[in-house]
Amino acid sequence: MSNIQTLEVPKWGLSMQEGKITQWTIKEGDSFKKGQEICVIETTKIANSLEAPFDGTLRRIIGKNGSVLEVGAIIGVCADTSVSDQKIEQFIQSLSSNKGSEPQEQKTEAKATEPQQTKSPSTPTVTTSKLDTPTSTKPIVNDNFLIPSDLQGYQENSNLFATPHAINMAQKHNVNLDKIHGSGPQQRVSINDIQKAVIAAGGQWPDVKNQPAKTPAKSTADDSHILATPLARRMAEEWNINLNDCRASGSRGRVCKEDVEAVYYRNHPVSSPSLPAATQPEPTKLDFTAIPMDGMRKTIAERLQAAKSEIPHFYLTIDVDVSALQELRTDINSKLPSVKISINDMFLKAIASALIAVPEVNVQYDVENQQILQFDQADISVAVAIPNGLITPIVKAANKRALSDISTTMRDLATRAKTGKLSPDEFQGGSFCISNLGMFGIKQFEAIINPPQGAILALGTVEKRAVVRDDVITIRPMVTLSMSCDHRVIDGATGAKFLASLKEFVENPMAFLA
Amino acid sequence: MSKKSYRNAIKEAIEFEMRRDPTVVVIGEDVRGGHGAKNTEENKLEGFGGVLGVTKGLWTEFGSERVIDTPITESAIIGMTAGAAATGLRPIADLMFMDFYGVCYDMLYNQAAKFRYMFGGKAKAPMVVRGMIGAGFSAAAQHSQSPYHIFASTPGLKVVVPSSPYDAKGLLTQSIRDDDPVVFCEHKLLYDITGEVPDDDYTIPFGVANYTRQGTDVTIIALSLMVHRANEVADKLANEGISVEVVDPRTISPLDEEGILESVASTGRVVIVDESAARCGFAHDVAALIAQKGFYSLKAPIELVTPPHTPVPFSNVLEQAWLPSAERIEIAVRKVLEV
Amino acid sequence: MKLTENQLLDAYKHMRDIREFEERLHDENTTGDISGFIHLYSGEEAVAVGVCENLTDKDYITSTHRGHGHCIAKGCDIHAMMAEIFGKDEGLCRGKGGSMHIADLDKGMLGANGIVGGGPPLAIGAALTAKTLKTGGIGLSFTGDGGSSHGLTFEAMNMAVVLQLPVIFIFENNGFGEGTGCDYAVGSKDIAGRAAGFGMPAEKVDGTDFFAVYEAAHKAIERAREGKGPSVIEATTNRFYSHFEGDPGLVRSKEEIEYIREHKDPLKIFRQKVKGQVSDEKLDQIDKDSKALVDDAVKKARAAKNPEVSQLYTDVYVSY
Repeated sequence: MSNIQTLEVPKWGLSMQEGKITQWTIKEGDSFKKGQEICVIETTKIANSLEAPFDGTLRRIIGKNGSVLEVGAIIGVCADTSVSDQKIEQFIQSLSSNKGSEPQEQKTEAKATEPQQTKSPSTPTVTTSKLDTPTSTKPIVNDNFLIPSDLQGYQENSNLFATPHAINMAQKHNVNLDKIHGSGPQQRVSINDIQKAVIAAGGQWPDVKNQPAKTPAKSTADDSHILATPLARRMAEEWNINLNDCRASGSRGRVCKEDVEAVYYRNHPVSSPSLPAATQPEPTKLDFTAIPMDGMRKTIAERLQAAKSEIPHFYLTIDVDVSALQELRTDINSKLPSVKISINDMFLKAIASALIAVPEVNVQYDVENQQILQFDQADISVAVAIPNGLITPIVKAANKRALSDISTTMRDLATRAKTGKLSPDEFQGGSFCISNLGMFGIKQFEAIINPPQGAILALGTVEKRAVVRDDVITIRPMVTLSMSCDHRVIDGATGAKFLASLKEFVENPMAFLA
Repeated sequence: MSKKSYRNAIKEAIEFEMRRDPTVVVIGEDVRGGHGAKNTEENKLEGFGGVLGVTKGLWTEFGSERVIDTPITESAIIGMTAGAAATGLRPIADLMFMDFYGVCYDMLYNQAAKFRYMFGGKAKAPMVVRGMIGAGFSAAAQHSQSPYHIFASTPGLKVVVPSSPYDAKGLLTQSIRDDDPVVFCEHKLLYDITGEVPDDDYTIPFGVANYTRQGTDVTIIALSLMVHRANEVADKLANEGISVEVVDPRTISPLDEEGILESVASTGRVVIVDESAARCGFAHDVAALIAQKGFYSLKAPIELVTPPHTPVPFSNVLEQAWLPSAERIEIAVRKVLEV
Repeated sequence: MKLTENQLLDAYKHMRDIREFEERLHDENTTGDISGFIHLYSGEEAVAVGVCENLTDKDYITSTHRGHGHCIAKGCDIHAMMAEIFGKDEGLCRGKGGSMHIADLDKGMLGANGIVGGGPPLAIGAALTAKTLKTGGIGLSFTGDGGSSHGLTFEAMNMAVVLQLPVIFIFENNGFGEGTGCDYAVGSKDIAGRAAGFGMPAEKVDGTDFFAVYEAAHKAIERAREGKGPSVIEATTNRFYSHFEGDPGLVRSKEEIEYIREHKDPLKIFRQKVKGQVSDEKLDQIDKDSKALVDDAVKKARAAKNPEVSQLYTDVYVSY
């Protein structure tokens, strides 16, 4: 008997008492999967599809189309094909034999012709009055309950100590409580005790407590007082989700966007989590565009996150007077029409000179071998902004190059960087790095070191500032330089010495031309 | 069977047991009241009879040897009770207000509750600690609390929280006859309620919940005063066709898990009403039980109705807002019913 | 007061058993086979035995965390005590109590107590039982100088006077509450003197002298039995070891302890006092017997079974 299962009229909502079978969508002999819609049942309020509660094969339809049955009534008998038709027949017989004089078949036929149904009294529920009379030795099968004959016989006036629900169940399923051993305080009989006794005697008693609910409950209560973020409330409204059904995982106990989405996906399981399809109400237009991270973006993100969190950065800032530099530039550019040197180029040259003067800053940190690599020449990486990222082409041996050479090299590198034509050896390595945001008017900033380099210099804009020279306030074109140093390889004094040297070169540019 | 007040039901249980068993004594501040006072001593008068008059009359029958007035020293009261219980008496200590557990808890939870275990089963401490719990009396923060959840978290103690005169008498009789230390929590707003109480002695077993209302749609679990508020809500909603089951566990250690879970299994919707605490209280313990052992019966999230996480205020307006009210219970019920 | 030879031998036997027990635990503890805290009573034997020689099984005592001496003096089984300290199923409390919670209610031992000041309220409870049921017994608490300042103790002393209970409060003043000097922590510097404030008599005795303790206790106990109410005895004594085993013991110098062991040893003092009355041979025989007894107790305790894990759940309630 255990491999025969039954399908029953479900209880959809508190007030549902009975349902009308309007349409079977599978026929006898069909196999079905758990969750598959197998028949349509109409209640006074709605028509809904019954989802199969288990995998199985429908062997016999009991609730014919058009029949009206009470909640819990059996509408179909299922078993796999190994169970013979005879067995199925016997099973159905055992059902009807306990139903007294009203075979269900008649009932349903009668109902089918009657458009305005009244409540059918025909249910498989066994009432005590019917069972008290015959000394039936047949087991009682009721839904998935099967009470062995020797445990049958509910007695109204039993003085037995039992929980209220045990008494209710005993009455409903005609169990003789006197025959059940109570395990509770003072031998009180509980439903569990009845279940144990019934099963021990070879009967059936479903373990209702351990069956998950078929569908999650949907609230209809007023949710206006539920705390929620405005976005969450808007989304819930659009998706017709009651905020009572949402967890409140947001700040200050509020329902947030994720909570509403969680309910949405619970109700609309999809293979890949994407926002609702077009058939669903349009979700709120969100005021951002999701831009997927491409390879370069991911690399930048990873490298800089690692650099910023692993390297013990410290920062040194110095102001330099660029009037001499500007004068020299104007001079060169006006005298040599073939070249067009920028302030940045001149800084590159000055930095290169300073790096040679203070080589302790012209270093890389070789973490693996725990050593500092100090370079003979100044290979200066220059941060260049390109679409969706940045790249650092290297002006190699800048200390050895003439200003004009630096200028053309830099221009060439920047052009090719922006068109993605650099070869790896042109942007990998470098003994020092600079980043210039002066063209945007940035006064001063601190850059993140580009490992394995030991330092990076951030150049601000050229700006006329009031400065004091020989105790007189005067206007000078000034630039603020900020150097970020990796303290593992460069100490404060070393960095400061470098910046002092750089200031010297910038303010007396003839020194690096020499 | 006749109508009796909760107060008289308690007194009757003590009286019956004192007559039945000469080892039963009552110990506490003012359990007679009047020792050492000229008027009461010379005229052999009963005094307070407990601060709210529960034990009034016992002294006349049993005398100072068994109705023992003590100084206001709770540690000595409970310690002496524990020592006496371990050596052959069945004392009933009156702590007056349960709030005072703070000044004597060592004697209860480090001594009496642990005797049996620490001494390998060779000792027992058959004692009862009676005391008042509950807000609603404008007694303010130190005389209005319901710390039964604290007692229930201590292994070795049994905790009784009766809601009706019938339960009070039957459970107190059981408490006195019980061989373990029992903390018996009386709600001060219940002393004057009346109900049918048998004239004879009877016991109610521990760990057996009482269903004060039977219903099919929702379960309210409540203790003590809160049972009455839950009943009120159940009766009101019955007019709307909502069928409410009210489960009164009556004792929270031991707890009738079965009685609670069976009700939850039948309704699938639960509201727990508890005056003890907003955090780590009785309601939270029961909610955890249901979440663990009755999860698949649930059709809606469990609702808890507790006081806020604040001390009990004095002002009547504030105190009424503090106590779980019938209105709040009703809102919670509607919420779990989704109607 | 003249004691018979048998009484003297009995008293000496108890004192020697305590000493052997504690000295042996001091050694055994270093093997790492004993869990938890051990507080040794060596040096204070005359107090426990001087008092308990006056008691019978219907009298109840409460003790302290330093409770082995009181247990032995009150007649607890030494084998079962040792097994308990080793956490074994054969222990007096089936391995659930340990050193700080040894109890044997059949012997009137209401428990060593891990809570300082925990004993006196329980002792007045035992006294209340004795008074109410007219058993003829008394309650008696052993408390240290540390516990003498505890509120629980004060409450119990007052209650005892108010209810005129047959109870004795023994304060063993060994000079230290854990590591804090009694002269510092006892405000009045006079524990016995506090009794007057509660309205009961008190006596201060030399706790290293069995006879002094015995006589004072005898008087107080007889008084209590006659219904004349509670009283206090302060016995000054010394602990040979530190607060607990493993405590570095910085509160006293080596020389101080050597002096105490030489001149303040209750057993040596006892032997001197009974010279001529009890032969050395008999006392030596007791020494040998005690050693053998404790030796056997340790052997059996080590070989004994651990409790079954199922024991974890039993004995919480009589019924639940």
